Amino acid sequence: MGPTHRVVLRRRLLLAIAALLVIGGALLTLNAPGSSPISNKADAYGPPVTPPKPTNPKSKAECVKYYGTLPTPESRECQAQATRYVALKRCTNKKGAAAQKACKKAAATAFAKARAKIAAQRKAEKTCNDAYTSAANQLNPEDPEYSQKSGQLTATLTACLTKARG
Amino acid sequence: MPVSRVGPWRWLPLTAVVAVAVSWRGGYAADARGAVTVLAGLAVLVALWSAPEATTRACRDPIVLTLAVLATLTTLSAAWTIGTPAGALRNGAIVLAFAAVVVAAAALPAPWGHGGVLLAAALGCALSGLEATLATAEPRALQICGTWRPAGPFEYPPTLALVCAGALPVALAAASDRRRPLAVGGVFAAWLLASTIALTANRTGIALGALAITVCVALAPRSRRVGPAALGVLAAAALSALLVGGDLAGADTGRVALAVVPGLLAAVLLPRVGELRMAGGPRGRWTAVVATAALLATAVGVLAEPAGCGGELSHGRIGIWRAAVGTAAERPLQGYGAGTFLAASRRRQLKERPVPTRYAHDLALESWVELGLGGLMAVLAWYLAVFSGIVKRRRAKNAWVLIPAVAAFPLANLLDWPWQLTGSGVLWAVAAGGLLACPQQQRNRAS
Repeated sequence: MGPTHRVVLRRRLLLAIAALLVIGGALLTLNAPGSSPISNKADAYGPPVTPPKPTNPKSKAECVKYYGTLPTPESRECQAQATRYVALKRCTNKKGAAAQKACKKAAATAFAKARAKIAAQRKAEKTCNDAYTSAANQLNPEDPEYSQKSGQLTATLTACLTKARG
Repeated sequence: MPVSRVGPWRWLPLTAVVAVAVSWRGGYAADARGAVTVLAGLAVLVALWSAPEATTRACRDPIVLTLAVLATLTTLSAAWTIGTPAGALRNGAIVLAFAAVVVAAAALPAPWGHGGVLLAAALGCALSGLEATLATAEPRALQICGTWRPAGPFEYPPTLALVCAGALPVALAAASDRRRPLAVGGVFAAWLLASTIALTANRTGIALGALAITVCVALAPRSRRVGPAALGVLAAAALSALLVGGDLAGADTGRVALAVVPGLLAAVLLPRVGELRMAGGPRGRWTAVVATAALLATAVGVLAEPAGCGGELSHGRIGIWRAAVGTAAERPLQGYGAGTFLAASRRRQLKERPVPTRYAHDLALESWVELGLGGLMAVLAWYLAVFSGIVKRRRAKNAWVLIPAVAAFPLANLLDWPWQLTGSGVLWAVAAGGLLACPQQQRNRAS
């Protein structure tokens, strides 16, 4: 016994849908916009959010959030500002104008000291980086010992920066 | 007598759909979706020619019908979309392609071929993701919260974990086979998949993997000792993840080599432990043991997440859902049109999070926003069709191999957006088609 009328109809409908998929899919492929160069995850979630640069930090945590834990001059500058903010806020709790003035002076002195230290660190780091750049420029990429020498230079730079950062 | 033209070539269209959908950046881009649509149509044509009865029977199944309704509604939304009509047509075509793949897969002998397709795809994706993680190469691996995580061709670790979770039961089926070479290969494949899931460090992925293993042990026939294999694989994968400290890219070569040892040991020892296989004990007891171990692994996965990573516990989902409900309530009946969730909810999302996301992280909510009440009902009907289909066919011969994959995809779509990664949708459709074919196989054999 052959297939019933209903089955034949169903098959024809399925055939039509399959043909629609083939033709429609081909048209959609031909007119499709090109793939995005960013990852699928990035496309779905948008660009990563970078926290705003702290201009007037109120705590060291704000600085860590933006600069990370590496004690770079920028990070230390931010932390010094946060320390000054906290110290000045504490001064407002002092009783008496003289005590407040002394407190503010102490905070300003500590901040100036910290900034001087940061300036020295910045200078020392610049020396390290300049030494690295000039030595790296003299390296020959064709040299068979290039990677070894390059590694040594990087290690020297790291040691120099660690020393500069105290 | 049923007309059925057998031959391995019948698998070609289906494997082509899977290969293109998965390898072409997970089938995310519009051009890849178009190609998948064409191949899905061809797969149905081949299925109609080779097994017309099985094909027509499959297209009456509620899973296929609900997908067809959703596809129609998605396509029709081109008439009222706030986005581009072409975008709505593209989205409609891909939902219809999912239905087509279910129908084409249901016309093939189940479930081992379907399982093989799932396993091969998952292993390929896992290896691709692991290689990229070792090489710290984006986008097949992504740096998230300070560690590199395998993402595979999907370029999204949670979907890689989902695909690996769906294929785990197939690997465990091979691991519990009496033929030793197959068992050795099965254990190693299961270890690789479980380790990949662990390294994605995705909570949903780990939970789905745990669920897949537990369901697999609970539903497997008594003649197969899946429990010991599952427990051994879980332990080996956990040990491997611990050896690299959950960060494959950060581990040195020695540690990476050491992390492979538990997998190799499991592959060599588990099939040899004949006594363990014979002394399997009651299935209920093994299910309880494996469920406890899987639950423990999930808890460790959740607790191991770095503090402050992804914000609060829901990773911002509650805010997205709040924005989605608010947006849908503004236009509850007709919605804003397929593929417009971002455009429709941008303003409300910006009140909840700094950068709005493209997807609602919940398929039902997204459909409500985009397609209105009809879309919401169609998606809920699809969920009902999938889970009632699973319940109806849970005792079908060897259906336990595919059931976890069929269940994992809709569950993941409650919290994430794997629906948009066509590769994972096509793999689900292959598993769903295989599940539909399982009872039919039994009837044919009996007649």
